[in-house]
Parts: sequence; structure tokens; C-alpha cells
Amino acid sequence: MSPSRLRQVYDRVEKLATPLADDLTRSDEFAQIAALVAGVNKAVRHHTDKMAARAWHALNLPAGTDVQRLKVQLGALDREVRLLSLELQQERSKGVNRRGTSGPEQD
Amino acid sequence: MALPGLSRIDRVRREVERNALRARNGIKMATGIQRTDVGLSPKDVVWGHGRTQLWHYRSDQVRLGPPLLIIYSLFNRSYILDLRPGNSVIEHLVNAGFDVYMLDWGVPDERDAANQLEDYVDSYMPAAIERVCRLAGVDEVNLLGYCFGGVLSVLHAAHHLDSPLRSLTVLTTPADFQQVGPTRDIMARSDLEDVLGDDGMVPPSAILQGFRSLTPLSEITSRVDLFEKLWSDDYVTAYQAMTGWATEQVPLPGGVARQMKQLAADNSLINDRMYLGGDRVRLSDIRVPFLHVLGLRDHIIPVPAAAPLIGLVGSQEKTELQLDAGHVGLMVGKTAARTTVPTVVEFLTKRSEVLS
Repeated sequence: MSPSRLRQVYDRVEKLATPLADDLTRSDEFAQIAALVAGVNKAVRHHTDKMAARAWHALNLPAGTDVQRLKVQLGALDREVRLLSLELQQERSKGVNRRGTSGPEQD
Repeated sequence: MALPGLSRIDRVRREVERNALRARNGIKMATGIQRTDVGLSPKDVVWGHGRTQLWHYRSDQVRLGPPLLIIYSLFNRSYILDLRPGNSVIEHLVNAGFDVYMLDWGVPDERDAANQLEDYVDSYMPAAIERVCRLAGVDEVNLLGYCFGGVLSVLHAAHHLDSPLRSLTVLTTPADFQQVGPTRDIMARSDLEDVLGDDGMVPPSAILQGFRSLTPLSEITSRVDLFEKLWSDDYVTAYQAMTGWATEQVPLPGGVARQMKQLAADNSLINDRMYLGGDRVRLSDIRVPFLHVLGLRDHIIPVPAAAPLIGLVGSQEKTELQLDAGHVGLMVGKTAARTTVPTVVEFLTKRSEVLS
């Protein structure tokens, strides 16, 4: 079978299958199953993380989840600092209101 | 299918040549030798804060002012607007004489997990606008938001009525979040905390799956198309650039995802119940000249989701343009070059002065 004939066959199949697949992904059942899969996935991940953490804690070592939690807490602090420095920068530029600037700045 | 003007021998010869090229390009792609560079328009980073950068595109042909500041979406990478030389919205805008800046949000990580919409709308955007004005020595900018960047732009314009905006252009921007398709349904039914990674971000894989569920067979079709045209170097280059962009998602901060879920549940923009930092934000307060360009074949932000926006914005001078294009097609390829960009250029040129 030539490539163009194969393509015609695929196009015919696709034409039939696309509305079915679209209906499927737009159905309530699909949304429910996707939500269920996400929930199960999270539960499994939580369970394995818990077991791994117990093993690391038994050795008096921090687990990956502890490090991650710390990183998120530091991240929240980092965000506060970023927003404050932006606010400061805005206030400063309002006050000074000078024209022109030098090259790139990384705040 | 018989091709006129080609004898049987010519057709066989052509097919043999194409198969040889298919094999060559296939091996190049499989081994990773074939790489496609994207986002090549020359630019300078003129400001940065956290993962966010403000880019200024170099040009020696700026003849229109005030500058144009592009606000990119929080999803995907911004190089879709500067995909390849000759297929770049940025290139078109620079060639039209605009002084172009882009606010790129970078790749967020756990430091951004708690980010809120207010961070972007009330902190980063005012800082970037102020920086553009200072660099260009002007008092106003033309603002252009793409996709969710359009949402950020209208929220900024509505929440900061004194923001120095000459005009506001948004492309394929949703207003009715209950019409955005299966992704919203899944979000509405899921516990968002199940989707968030340990870093507090929505992982790129989850976002990619969400987009794939919108057109379930398109990935297979694109691979079939690729096999068929694998002999063409131009097609392979374009395929790699587009596929790379479509699959290269960035994580979404969990804080923003929670707000988006609420925004969709309340349909806050449509129901005029949008709050930012405790303030009520009304799109009807926007007064600057406004243009919304949307795609009739957009499967990510379908017409019923995007079309209500024009009615919500309070500007007296407002225009909506519905083009026969998909979400990406609006900014890439022939539709972008022939229709979208000229329309945007025309709108912006009317709101600009010729610089002496």
C-alpha cells in the first residue's frame, strides 16, 4: 500500500474516531475518572513518601519531604522579600522620578 | 493518486529520494542531532526580578512610540511569539517600527508556589511598565497580553486606573471560565491539592495532560503528518519548533492555580465578582482603547469563553476581531503574518506617534 493510500485510510479512521474521542474527554465520566486517578496517584505518592521518610528518620536523617517542606517555606519567605523589594523600588522611583537608566538590573 | 506531469519512473524516483531523506531526518531526530533554535530575535535583558525578566528587542528602525510591552501567559514558554526567523510575531512588530519589550515570567519553582495573581498584576507589571517608561523616556506604553497574559493585562488595567496605558490589546483571552472545556471540568471535580506536587506547583506534566485532553487524537495525527513529510527539512524544523513549544510546559504556582479554580467556579469576570488584594476589580472601569483578537478554531480558549470579554470592558473605543485560526495559529504561520499581526499593527499604529 502506498503512503498516500495509508494516509487516506488514517484520515478516514481519524474522521470517525475524533468525535468519539472528543465526546469521551468532554464527558462527566472522564472528568470523574481523571479526578479519581489524580487522587489515587497522590495517595500512593503520599504513602511511599511516608515510608521513605520513616526509613530516613530512623537513621536520624532528613527525608526528601522534609527538605521539600523547608524549600517551600523558604520560597514563601523569598516571595515576601521579592514583593517588598518591588514595593520599595516603586516607591523609590515615584520619589526620585528621574529619567534614563544604566543597563540591566537584577533586583 | 497520480500526479500530472510525472511519469511512473519519476514518481518511483521521487519516492525513493523522499524515503532516503525520511531515513536521514528520522535518524537525526531520533539521535537528537537535529535541533531547532527558537526565540532568535536579538534582545537584551533590561530588568529582572526573581524568575521574571523584561526583554527589550534590539532595533535600529524604531519609528513609532510609545513602546509596546507584551505580557506573556503563565503557561508555556514565550518563544512562541518569536518562534523562527520569518515566523515571528516579534520580528513583524519590530519591522513595523515598534519599540518592543516583553515581560517573560521564566520558569517558576517552589519559591513561586505561593504566588498570587496580585503578585503579577499589582507588583511585577507596574514595575515593568515603570521600567519601560524610564528606559524609553516616555510617560505611556501600549500593552499587549497574550492568552492568560491577556487576563493579567485586563486585570491590571482595571485595578490600576492610573496605569500609564495608551491602549490595551489582548489576544485569545478568556472571560467566561466555565466555557474553557474539559480542563475546567477536571479542575472543578478534582481536589487541587491532589494535583499539586510536593513543591506546591502544578507540575508541567499535569498541564500537558490537560491540554492533550482537549484534542485527544491530535498527537497521533501530528506524528502521522510528520512521517508523511519527514523528507522535508522545512517541515521537520517547523515540527520540532512547534512540538517543542507545545510539550515544554512550565509549572504553575499553586497559589495562582487555587485562585484560578475559584475564578472558574465563581465565573468571577462574567459575574463581576473579581477581587484582587481585597479590592473589587471591574473590567467595566477600563477606559483605554481596547482590541481583542480571538480565533474561531481555538480549542484551548474557545469562542464562547473569549467572546464575552469585549462586552465586559468599559472602553468606549473597543474592537473585537474573530479570525479563522486556532489558538496557536493566531500567532504562528500564515494567519499571523497575513491577518493577526497586520490587524494589531494597524490598531497600534493609530495609537502611536511617528517619532522624529
